[in-house]
Amino acid sequence: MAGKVFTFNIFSEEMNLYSVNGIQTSPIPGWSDGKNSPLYTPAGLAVDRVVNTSAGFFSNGGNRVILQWPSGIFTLTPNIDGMKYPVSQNLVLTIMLGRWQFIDSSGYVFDEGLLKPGTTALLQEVMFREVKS
Amino acid sequence: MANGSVYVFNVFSETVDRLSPNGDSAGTIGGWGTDYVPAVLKVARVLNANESPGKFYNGKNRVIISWASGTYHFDLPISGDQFPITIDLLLYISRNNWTLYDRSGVRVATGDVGTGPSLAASK
Repeated sequence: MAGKVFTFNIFSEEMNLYSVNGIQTSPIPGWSDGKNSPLYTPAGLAVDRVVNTSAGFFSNGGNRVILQWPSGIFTLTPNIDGMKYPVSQNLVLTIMLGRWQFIDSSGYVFDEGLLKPGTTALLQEVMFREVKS
Repeated sequence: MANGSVYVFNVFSETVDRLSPNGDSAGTIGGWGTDYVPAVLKVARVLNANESPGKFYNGKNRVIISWASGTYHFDLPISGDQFPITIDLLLYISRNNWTLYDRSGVRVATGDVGTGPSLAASK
């Protein structure tokens, strides 16, 4: 059974675009305002893992992620080592302003990196691939 | 204006049986569920060290965490000049790392979570 990457948006703004390897998955709301869950609790989205590169999924190897908040467009390229983290294993990806962290299902941070600011050209890339699929 | 708080998130499956900032327990934090959403504990901010047991003050806070699998610690610096006492902060604690965020979601500090000292060091 394939695992998932549980992505959390650690920010007040909704991530209105979250594209994994070229396909928009689903928006991820901003953190809780305290009405339905404790204040600042991050919203999450589960994206399936696969072994080989596939649009809309996290694969072993490098993954191209494009996201958009109202305050900007960014990219990140989290890498998944299938030898260390078999495809059946769940992973947690936290994304905040400027940075991301990868956490394994035992609660250990195993990778992190910077968000790279992008332009609207990236959004066209995502839309193009959506049309093709 | 009321003091802000530090919202402490437990990024792990095990319950934090005891979160002890500065020598006294602030409470417990549930482990994550099947959706990996981290549970949270709201801990008060205070200005001075003499009122800090069980709370976070402006300065270096010694934090002791007790999970079923072990006891861990780290020091959390909070700058009152950078983050006035009325401001909320977010603290994410995983097994090997802590990260402090401001209310805008910007990482402001991070560090390693170390093993020990024993729970006897905190109330």
